[in-house]
Amino acid sequence: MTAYIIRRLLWMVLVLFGVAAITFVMAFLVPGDPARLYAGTNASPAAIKIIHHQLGLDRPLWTQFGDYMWRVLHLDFGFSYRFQTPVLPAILQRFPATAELALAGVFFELIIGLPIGILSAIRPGSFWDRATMVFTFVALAAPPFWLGLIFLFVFGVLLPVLPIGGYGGGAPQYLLLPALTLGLGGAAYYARLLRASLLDILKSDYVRTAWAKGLTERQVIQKHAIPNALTVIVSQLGMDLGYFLAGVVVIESVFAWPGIGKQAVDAIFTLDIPLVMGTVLFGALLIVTANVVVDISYTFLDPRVRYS
Amino acid sequence: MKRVSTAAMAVLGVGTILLSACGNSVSTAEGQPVSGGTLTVSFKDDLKTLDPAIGYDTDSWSIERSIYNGLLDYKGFTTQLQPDIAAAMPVISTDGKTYTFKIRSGVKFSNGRTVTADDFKYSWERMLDPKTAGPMTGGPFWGSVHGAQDFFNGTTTSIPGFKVIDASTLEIDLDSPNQSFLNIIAMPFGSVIPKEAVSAAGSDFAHKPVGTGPFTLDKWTPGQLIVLKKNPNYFGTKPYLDEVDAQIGLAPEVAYLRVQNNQLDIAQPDLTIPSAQYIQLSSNPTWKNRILKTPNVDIYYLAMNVNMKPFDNSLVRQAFNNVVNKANLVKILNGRAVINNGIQAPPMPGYVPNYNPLGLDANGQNIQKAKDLLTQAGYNASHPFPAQDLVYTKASADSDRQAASIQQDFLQAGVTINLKGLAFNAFLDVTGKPNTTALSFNAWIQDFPDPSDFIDPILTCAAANVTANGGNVSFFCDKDADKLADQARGDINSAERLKLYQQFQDIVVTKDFPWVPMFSTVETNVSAPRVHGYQLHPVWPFVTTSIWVTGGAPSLAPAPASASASASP
Repeated sequence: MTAYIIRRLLWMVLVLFGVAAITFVMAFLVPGDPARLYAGTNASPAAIKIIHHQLGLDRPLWTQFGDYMWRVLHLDFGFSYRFQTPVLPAILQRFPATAELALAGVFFELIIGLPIGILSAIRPGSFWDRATMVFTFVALAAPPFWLGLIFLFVFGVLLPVLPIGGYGGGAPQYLLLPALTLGLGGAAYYARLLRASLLDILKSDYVRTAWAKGLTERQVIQKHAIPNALTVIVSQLGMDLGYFLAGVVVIESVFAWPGIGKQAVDAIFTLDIPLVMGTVLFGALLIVTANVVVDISYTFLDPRVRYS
Repeated sequence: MKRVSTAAMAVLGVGTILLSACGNSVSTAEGQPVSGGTLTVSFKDDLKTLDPAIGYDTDSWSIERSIYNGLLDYKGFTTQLQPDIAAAMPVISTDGKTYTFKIRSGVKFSNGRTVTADDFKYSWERMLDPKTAGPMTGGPFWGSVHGAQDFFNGTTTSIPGFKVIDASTLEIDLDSPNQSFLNIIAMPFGSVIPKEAVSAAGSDFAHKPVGTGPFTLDKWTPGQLIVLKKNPNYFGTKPYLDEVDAQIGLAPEVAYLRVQNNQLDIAQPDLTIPSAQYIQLSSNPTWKNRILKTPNVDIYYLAMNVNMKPFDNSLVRQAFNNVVNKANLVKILNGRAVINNGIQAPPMPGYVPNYNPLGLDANGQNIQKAKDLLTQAGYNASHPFPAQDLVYTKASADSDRQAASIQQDFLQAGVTINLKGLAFNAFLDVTGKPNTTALSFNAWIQDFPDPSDFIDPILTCAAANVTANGGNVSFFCDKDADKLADQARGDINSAERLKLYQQFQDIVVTKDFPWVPMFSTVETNVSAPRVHGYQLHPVWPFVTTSIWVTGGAPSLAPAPASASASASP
């Protein structure tokens, strides 16, 4: 197990290096001159040339990449072109907002998705099953930006019981709508995933044995079926959490949530390459870490799984 | 202010101008002003900087204007310059090359120290220093100051053209007269800052600004909130407001919902109302009458690269000038624009009303003439005009619609146009390089209300003679026109000067045809009913000092952020 973890951590480093290299090359392949955007579109070519030099953009690409990687190894992600502030503190300053939203989103995914999935699976074909499947279709099909705006309109304007966007220092009334919007799509997916998994498991031999032993429905479902069906949810949950923590761009933009996802999008539009690179690397680190944690957690959830 | 990203950027228009004399600006001013209270505004994106040497965008200027002052400013909501920190307008030498300013006594920074002439020399040299890497370094606008070029090149450490005569007297020497220099001084780049505050802030003066303005920065939580508080040391008339809160990151859809529900006072004060929200507001009886409108000093045009085929043929360029249905483009902007057949925007001094030397119809076109001119240019059924790419920026749905409208117009003249929408940065890249883009959809917005700003950076030979990042995207260069621009730049006779610029316009529009001028936009904005005295300024993107508020603060306003990077003077 220890050897496995070490091997996975080494792979993590390799993956992050690959992500950094690809992001760096892609950032420089994008047409446009960061110095031009930094200087303002009316700045003279002479001013832009000077700023090019000040930002180090006149050096060969491989030199810039080498310097960048060396600094990253020392946890120095450079300076944002746009804000002229260090990148890592800028990311860390916004990360708590993203983390808060991500955790709340996952909470809604589970609190809505799991009961629906279980109830649908134990009464397949029932009215409840059909109704919830319609819900999952709609929730999966609805684009988050549209859903977010509808929520804002209904709960912020028509009723109005909740604020129309904003962060409010992370107060619950500000968090509710973005977290619900974020969680609803995932909840629908989880419901379908869990339903399919449970239906499969309920037909398996060991469940039939459990019925044959005379256990109640509650015992069969709760003790034998659900724990096994949840492994697939855990796997997806780990991915979701990593993905959410890396920044939920659309939700953060619609609800004016000051997370790293919105910051990254703004950075892309302003060719703020250090900030883009820093955010991508930070996000990749979270996603890869979440993957490793999920893989390791399998050994605890399913004793049959052993890594060597 | 600068090149902007084609037609839809009209919706994101920045610099504005007010025809106050014509009375076509609407103000919400009513009743007696009252002091106190907090104004809440929103910005879509976080501010880049509050360092006046760096900021060159309307978001930054919206806040910078409340924190800093320069020697001169515009009087009220007009384009007439008046002294600000200067005690009076400068004494200008007869050759127009030396300006002597007296500094008003008792002007203090928000840290309590008195402003001296040395502070201006320091602020301006810092602003032009290549190490600051600000947009003014290298020459734009300030390049004619004596010794500035040597300073840019690093051969000197000071600019001799900025002379401190004594603590309250500053002399500025130019190498050549420049009649727009007072406008240049009035730009936020000319703001005064204290050296000790810059030293104390280290590399982060952008987030810890100290100035002389009516407000000081109390708090800036990146991505969330900027709080300005009234400056007790302000030398001018005190603002009515105690505080201005700028909420960051609100998309227009959300921001305007907030305004309509009393959760925000002004959405995006530096930008015009987006089309979708404008339609909604203007059809609502409650909000319709609260919409402010004023002409923008901008021009939207098709640029034809005179060095690239087929636009190296002036007959082709002339033909193109007869094709575009400009009235349709105005309709796409909900009527928030006017047809413009010249190169200057309607409110600019020297603008010629109803300018139409090509005899275009009310829509701004003459399709038959276009066809005839293309025939004269050698294009016919057996030798059809080659399809052209129209490069434009995909800034919003409006820009796509306008580009499509232009495409349809050209089909009527037998010309196939392929639309090529790009992101703004890519657009700047491909249009600013020589021999790269033949036809593009461009816009230009004022830096300051002087006609030179619509000529020097975008229509002179110097602006065309670049290898990249050019503003003259048609790469137009006419030596005769250049002579007129040179002459006008230093001409101290205002009336004669404006005539020279009008002659320049005639050369562009009736002789060389590098552009298809199309329209100039109208700025719109709206405020919550509790806001009074809000007006759109001719030059500045947002002015806080005329505003007062009544009634309670917006409900459901965000609670104070838990973590903040505070900055205090």
